[in-house]
Parts: sequence; structure tokens; C-alpha cells
Amino acid sequence: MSDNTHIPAATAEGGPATADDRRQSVLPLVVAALVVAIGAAAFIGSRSLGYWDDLGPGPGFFPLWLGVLLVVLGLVWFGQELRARLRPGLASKPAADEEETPDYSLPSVLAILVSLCVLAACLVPVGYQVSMLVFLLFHLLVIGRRGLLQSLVIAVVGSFGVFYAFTRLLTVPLPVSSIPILRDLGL
Amino acid sequence: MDSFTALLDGFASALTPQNLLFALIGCLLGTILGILPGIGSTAGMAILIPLTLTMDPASAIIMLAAIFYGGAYGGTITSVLLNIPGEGESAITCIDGYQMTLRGRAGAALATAGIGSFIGGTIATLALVVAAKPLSELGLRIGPPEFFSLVLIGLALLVGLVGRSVLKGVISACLGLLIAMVGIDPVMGLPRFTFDQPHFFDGISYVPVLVGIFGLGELLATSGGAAPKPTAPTLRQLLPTRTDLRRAAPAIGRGASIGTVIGLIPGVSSAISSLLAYSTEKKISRHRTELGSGAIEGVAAPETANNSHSNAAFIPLFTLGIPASPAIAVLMGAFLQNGLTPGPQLFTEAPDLVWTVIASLFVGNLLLLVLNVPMVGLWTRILAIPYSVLRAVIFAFIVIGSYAVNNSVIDIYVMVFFGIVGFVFRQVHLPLAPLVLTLILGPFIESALRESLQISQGDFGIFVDRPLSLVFLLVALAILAASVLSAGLKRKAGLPTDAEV
Repeated sequence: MSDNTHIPAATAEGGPATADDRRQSVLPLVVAALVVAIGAAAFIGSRSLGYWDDLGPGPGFFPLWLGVLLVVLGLVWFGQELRARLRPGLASKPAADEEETPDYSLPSVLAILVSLCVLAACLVPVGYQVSMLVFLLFHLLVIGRRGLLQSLVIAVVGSFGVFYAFTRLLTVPLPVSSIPILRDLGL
Repeated sequence: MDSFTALLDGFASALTPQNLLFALIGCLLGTILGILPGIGSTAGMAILIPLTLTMDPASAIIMLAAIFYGGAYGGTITSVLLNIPGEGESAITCIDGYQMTLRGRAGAALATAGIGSFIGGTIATLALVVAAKPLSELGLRIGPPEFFSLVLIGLALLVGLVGRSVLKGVISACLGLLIAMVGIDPVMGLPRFTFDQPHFFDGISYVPVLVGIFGLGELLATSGGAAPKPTAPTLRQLLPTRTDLRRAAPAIGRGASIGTVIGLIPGVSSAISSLLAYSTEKKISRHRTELGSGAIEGVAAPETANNSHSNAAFIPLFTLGIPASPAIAVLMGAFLQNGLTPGPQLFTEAPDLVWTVIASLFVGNLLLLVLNVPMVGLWTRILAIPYSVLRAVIFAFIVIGSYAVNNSVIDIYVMVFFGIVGFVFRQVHLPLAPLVLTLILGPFIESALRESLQISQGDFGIFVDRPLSLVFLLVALAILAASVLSAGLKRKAGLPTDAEV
């Protein structure tokens, strides 16, 4: 992975390397390495499952070969990406440029992921209604910068309204709080 | 009972007020999701699967199928009005569709696309009715080795034709298979890769994975962009002129035949049908010189082809149990969620359901035409709703959806995890389609392989000794070899990385 350090320097020659460029150039290498790691993990994990038994291939047969395949393919991909970086202008780099990567902003991505995990963690202790109310208010007021009244209306409908619709009308149960005081309040 | 009597019975139950209502809701919801930036019909279905969890299987599948083609039409609307294809299959429609919009002819383009889609879908569904019985009888004669080899053809086509890199396609397919390994193994009943969590003994549920990969992944990937605002055509602009209709008719005819035939081949996405239909027009249409500058043929042919393809893709699903595209794979996931395994046995196990669904395809196509085309103005107004509001509502929905499958918070984390996976796949240009297909087909592929080897007592020769299996394997190999060789050509043709998504 020591070659990765060359990338920002190389881009810097032509102009200032943005954080985005750097991320873009290192990410495929990281993912390829992850693919190799996942393959290796599958290979190791499958060995205890039984490769072959009296009836034929055992539960470990398929994952073992998948692991081998993933390690090999991941290494080939890693090699390709590395070669494209060491010899710019060759190999897959032009192809990657043609393909449009959709716009994303890293702060938004992180905010979305963290807020979803916090919501998931709060669902059981606090219950659906309050957690979703706070989650929606966060997304509408803080991230979306919508007005207070509009946000409140949408958040109340999305939390209390949806809870009522799902539990009463669609008979899909949504979590209620496990804290007695909140539960007694119907949350 | 012959096919047509069965179909009539199917109509009787597809036209009950309840099923009609679900088809209608599905069409409307699908169109709305299809219009939203970044969400195609595959993601739309995945996000809305949870709504169908408490319905009876027929209604659930009718609604999801309606979401499927509603989403495709929603994608057409944004292609024509905004030059933004909701999915790969409408990418080609942008060329002439957007040119027509610039000339003030957006209405005619959208109406022609709607009419073409209806005709194409109806013709393909008729083909499904005719081919279903004989093909499913053939399907019943296919043993595990043939099934395994046939799935390999589908995967080879998907990996070879859709993505630009065969290597990345195979990696994606392997990862999907590996995720499918989680849970109790299908032959011995031993838990595998469950991390000692009883929750994973039943395997990782499809819904949170699909919702994560397509829904959340797409929302994360587009989190930086602001949605553009279109202007809606008036109702009068919607009416195509007589010249439009005369010019579109032959293109619709050619598009319908191309889509129906190509849709039969498992693994080929509908983007290929659209592309083929468009290039056919470019070669043989009387107005071929106008293509690219707003010719009606350039909208009619690909739109007809992709809808007839989408409907024809039900044929391999119902007769062989092989989903031809990620969208159909999601639908297959919904079948499995309802305890039904699509395939030739389904015609004997649940004939009522199959024919109801087939009949509903006709009904849905008609609903799409009479409802959605005149409502274009309303649909475009959805894009006027601030994106941050839409996104917050979608988040709430995907959280409820993932939770409701097993009433478990773990599934929300699974969804978030696969959201990250989908996001990273998009950033490094790994195609998502092979992963989804192997994820859903994984247990079937593994059972077929292991049963074959049990029959042959461990001899891999069984795959080449049985003639049909040998032919399938050779075809799969040829496709892979050809796609490796033509990788450069494909790059020139500018095919989308992940055409269906």
C-alpha cells in the first residue's frame, strides 16, 4: 500500500489535489484489498464447515471456492488499479473517467449514516414515535434547513401519524418504548 | 385447463376491486419513485416491499409488478423532460426525447412513450401466455446440472453485457453468493457465517439488503446534488399529431419484437433492448437522418422495446425460475418472502396466483397508459417538493421497511451496512446487478451444484456428460470470452456500467 502515498503528490504537480481526488484515487485500492480480505476470511471460515462428506460436497465446499476466487480476483483488480496509477495514461483510468460518479458530499453521507444508526439504537429504548420525531426534525431542520412549522408538521405525521397507520390500519407492529414511564404514555 | 381459460380466470381475480386498487397504487407509487432523482424501479420496488408484507401473495406481487413498470415510466418522464435517465434503460430515450422537449414537443414524446410501452408490454405478455405452459413443461425436465449451467449463462450475460469490466462483474457476483451463504446451509442444515447470531440462522433477509443497496446506497451517492426543476407540458401538448403516430407505428412494432425476443434471454438487461431498438431505427428507419435531433422514432422504439423486454423477462422467471434482471430478481425475492418459489412447479403448485399475476400485467399496462400519461403535469410537480423533505420521508420509510420484515432492529443495521456497500460499489464502479442476482439465486445455485455432485458421486464430469448441460456451459464460456475480447468495443459504445440500476 506504500504506493498510495504517491498519488496526492502526483496530482499536486498538475494543480492542487483536492481531498476528493485523493479519496477517489485510493478508494478502489482499498476496496480491492477488502475483497481479498473477505475472500481470505471466507476461505478460512469455510475450512471448519466440512469440505466433503459421504454424500458429496459439504457445507464448506462452496464458500471455500468462493473465497479462493475472491482472493484471486481481488488481487488481479488491485494489480490493475496499481498499474494504472504507476503508469498514468495507461490501462483502466480513462475508462473510469468516462463513467459519471454521482455527486455526493461526505459530511451529508456521514450525517445520514450516523443519524440512521442512532435512530436504530434508540428505537427499542425510546420507542418509534419519539425517535422518529427527533430523526425527522434533525433531517428537516438541521440538514435540509426547512422552516420550523413545515418541519414540525412533517415530523409529527411521519412519527405519530405513521405509527398509528402502521400499527392500527396495516397491523404492522412498530416498536414502543421499553422504558415504563414512556410506555405508559403510549410512546 | 388450457392457457387461455386459465388466463380468463386470472383476469377474474386480477379485476377484483382489491387487486385493481393495489395495481393502481403500485402504478402511482412506482411512477412517483421513478421520477425522484436517483431512484429507479428496482430501488422503488425494494423500498416498497415492506408495504406488501401483510398482504396476500397475489395482491403483494401485483402491487410490486405495478411499481416495477410504474417506475420505468417515471424514469422516462425525467429522461424526456430533464435529460436525466432514472435508469439505464431510459438512457437512450434522453437523446431524442430531450431534443423534443427543447423543441416544445415534450408532451408528444411522453404520450408516444406511454402508448409504445403499452403496446410493447401487451405483446410481450401475450407471448408469456403462449409460451408459459410449454416452456414450463420443458423447465420441469431440467435437472440440477442443467439448471446450474443455465444460471451460469444468465450470469455470464449479465457480467459480460451490462458492466464494462468482466472482472468487476465476477467479483460482484461472488460477493452476492457469499452473502447468500449466510444462514443454515441448504443440504446439511449446518449454520454458516452466522457470527453466532440466531438472527442470521434464516440467512440475511433480502429486503434490508436490497433496500440498503438500492435505496440508501443511491441516496448516499446523490447526497450532494440538488434536484433540477422541469416545466410540465400542458394536456394539449400531450396529444401526438397524426404524423407522429404514423411515424411512430413501425418503430413501435420493431421495438416490441426486439424487446420480446431479447427479454427471453436470462441475464440481458432491458437497456440492451432499448439500445438495439434504437440502433435498428438508426439503420432502417425512413427518417433515420433525423434521429438524434428529436425524432419521434428515437423515443418510440427504445421505450416500446424496454417495456416489452420487462414483461417478457417474466417468461424465464415463471418457466425456469431464473430472474432475468435485478428488478425481476427483487420481484423473485418478494415471491420467496411469501413462501413461493418461482419456476415451472409454480404452475402446478399455485396456478391461480401465476395467472392472476399474468392477467394483472395486462391490467397494469393499461392503467399506466390511461392514468399516467394524462397525469404527467402532476408528476412533474412532485419534483417541485424540496428534495430534503422527500429524502427525509424516504429515510423514514426504509427504516420502517427494514424493521418490519422480522420486527428486528438488527435488520436496520443490516440495511445501513448494505447502504454503505451500495455507495462504495457506485464509487468504485462495481456493478450492482450481478450481486443482486446471485444474492437471490445463491441458495438455488448452491443446491443445484451440490445435488448434481451427489448424483454423480463427486464427479464434476456430470456437467459435461449431460448434453444439454454441456451446451449451456459452452455458451456461457463463449459469452464470457467474447465479452472479455470486446471490452474495448463496449467502452466505445458507451454502455452504462449498471444498466438496470
